[in-house]
Amino acid sequence: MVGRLREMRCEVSFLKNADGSASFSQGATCVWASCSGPGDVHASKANEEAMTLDVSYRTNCGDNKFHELNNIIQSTLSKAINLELFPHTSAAVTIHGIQDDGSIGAVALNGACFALLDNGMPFETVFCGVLVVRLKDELIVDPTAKQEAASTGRVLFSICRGSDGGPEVCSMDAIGPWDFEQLEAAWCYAQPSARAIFDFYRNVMQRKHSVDEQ
Amino acid sequence: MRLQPLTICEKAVITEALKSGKRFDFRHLEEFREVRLIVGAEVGTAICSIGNTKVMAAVSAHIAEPSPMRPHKGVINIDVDLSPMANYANEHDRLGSKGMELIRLLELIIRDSRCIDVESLCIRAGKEIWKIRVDVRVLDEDGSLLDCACLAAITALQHFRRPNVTLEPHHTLIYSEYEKAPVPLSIYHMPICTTIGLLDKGQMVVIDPTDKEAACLDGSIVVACNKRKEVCALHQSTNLVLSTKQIERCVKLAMSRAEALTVVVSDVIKQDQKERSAYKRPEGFAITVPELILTAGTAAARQLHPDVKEEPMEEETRQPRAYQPSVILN
Amino acid sequence: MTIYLPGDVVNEPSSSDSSIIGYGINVRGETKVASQPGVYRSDEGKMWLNVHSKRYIPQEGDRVIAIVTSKTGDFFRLDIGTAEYAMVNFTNFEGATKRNRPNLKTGDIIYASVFDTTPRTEAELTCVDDEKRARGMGQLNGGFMFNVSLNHCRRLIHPECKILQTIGKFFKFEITVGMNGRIWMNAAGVDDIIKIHDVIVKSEFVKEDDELINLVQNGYTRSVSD
Repeated sequence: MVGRLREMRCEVSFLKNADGSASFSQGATCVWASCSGPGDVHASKANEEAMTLDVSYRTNCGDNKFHELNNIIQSTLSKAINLELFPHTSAAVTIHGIQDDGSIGAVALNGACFALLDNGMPFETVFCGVLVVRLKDELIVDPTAKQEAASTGRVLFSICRGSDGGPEVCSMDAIGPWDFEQLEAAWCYAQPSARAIFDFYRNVMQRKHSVDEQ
Repeated sequence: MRLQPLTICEKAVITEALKSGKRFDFRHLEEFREVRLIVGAEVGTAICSIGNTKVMAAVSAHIAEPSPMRPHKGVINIDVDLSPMANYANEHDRLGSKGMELIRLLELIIRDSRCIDVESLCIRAGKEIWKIRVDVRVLDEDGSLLDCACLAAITALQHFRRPNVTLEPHHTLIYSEYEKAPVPLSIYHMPICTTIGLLDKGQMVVIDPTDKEAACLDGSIVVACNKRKEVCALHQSTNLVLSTKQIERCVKLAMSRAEALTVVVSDVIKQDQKERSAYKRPEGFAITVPELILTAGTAAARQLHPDVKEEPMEEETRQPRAYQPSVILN
Repeated sequence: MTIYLPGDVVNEPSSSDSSIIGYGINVRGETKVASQPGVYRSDEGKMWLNVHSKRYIPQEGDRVIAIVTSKTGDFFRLDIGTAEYAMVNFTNFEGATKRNRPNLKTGDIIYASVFDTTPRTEAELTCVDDEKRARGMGQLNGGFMFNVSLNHCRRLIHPECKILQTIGKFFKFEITVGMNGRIWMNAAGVDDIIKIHDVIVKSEFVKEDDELINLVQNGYTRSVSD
């Protein structure tokens, strides 16, 4: 088993128009994410009880109406944000995949969380994404594009923080044949990965808020 | 989400400032904002930023049947994506009038100006042609959207390499990049677009207006030309009546701008070519984060150690793990 | 100075005796949990997190800068940057009577205070206090308005913040800061307005030290354009 998290880089608040924006990269995989809200909503889409969440993952080329990542990102965000706090409003989360060198799903989730943190909207828990692939009976965390293309099975964990502060699976997307032990082994490697990513969130936010030191 | 309405005081101050030649970002009336152009690790991708406006373009190609009316000409399609990231008034997957105008203008500048040789995109007349698709993604809007989109699209087209093909009697052989080097597109010229704002019924010229400035102007004219001093497109979307002299002045400004930007694009492409031919892996859009700014952070690559599971004390409680499928098939 | 991310349990030594839980912290049973990312602050029995954000959520008692969008019957409809519009009754202005209505048109700006935020309805604002006196509220004439983030607005009007004082050493100006991220200011000429606007926007990520004085000084001596 190879457990290695690539170098992470992030810049927040760099877009002028979005309420919260983040440019996040792991290795050579890079996404730009933005989160605007809670704002007004058109009457046709308004929900009287909760906030309408408009989430979209967009790729470089091609039609963007349907993408497989929209499902896991939407379900993670619906769990992370308490939508009933802001009835009759809407929020738009957009994630652009700028460069794909493997584990784009995980990078998109992390970028979305940074955008949400930069927005300052209230939500329940931070979340992150980790991709684990199986390559010839070996499990690899955070694979590059070459490793991902050659893999026989992929599982994308969407991890949030449980009530005890430790990582907890919020959503999962598995492709290919996996048996239970392999999934558990993948989860063993995903957890320290998640902790490292949560620490990175803390460092970046700490640095951004250091202007308030008085 | 609705936009903040423009107030009377904002409009008054910005108009007064422009009339006396002053701008909020300390530029002259005829000064352009800084242009930054980066090409990606994948061929055919480029991000262009003019001031705060950021646009990304990506080019892809696939083989398709030609239209029966033009059997030996390739096709270039342009698609624009305006997302809430650029401006929270946009909606996902919905273009609106601004998006439609942008697509139409880009088609006018790139396709109708015939800057790409479409006949070289034909593989087998009447049967197979290359369809080139240019996807323009607007990432942030702050005025001069068309300029930025056009520049990004042109750079991406220059950067793009399509697969090499050979014609066999009964089929077409398409080579991967490892077998035969991919081929660049045949581009005749590079149309560069300039947005020129007009104030005082066309008497004053404001170059490269930001969004706020554009809202206070009387109108704007868009001129696309190339470094060979040919005008590729001329467009006005407001109700200004301009004299020939005013238009000529705008065209002159656009031409000098086109020359300068063509040099920038060529430099960027040449630099990228050099790196690729030296087999250096291009950095592409990998973020270079300046250390000094407070809103950025880096975390080094690290090894992960899996959580060590503690063995339970009593051996009897350890049950052999039985995998229970949730569905039992007959 | 520690940062709290959403989901963190707030465990500060002074937290046990604080009675008023403020912005960014939720109480779940016995524990206090942060719901927004921010730095912990406490003062005189109140505890809250200082959150960085750009979009305003209406709070009663806040003074905001509102833009008039339309007039409907007895009310002016205003935009304060929130999801719903806001409104102000024309009698809630100093010296206003049924005959003497305030003369506001679309695009004018007023400085008002939020006094009713029932959910799912438009927020109601007022330009007078309980004794029908304006106390600085009302229409803002002339000048220039621009947007900054909400945390920067709060920082500017903090008594210990020296940004406005430092600017005042070089320029003559008047300023009104709205809690919804909008700032209105008036200065001697367009030149000064441009320079002060630049300084205020740039000072958001500059800490309170010599760097700030340098920033203002450079702003003052920089020429706008020839």
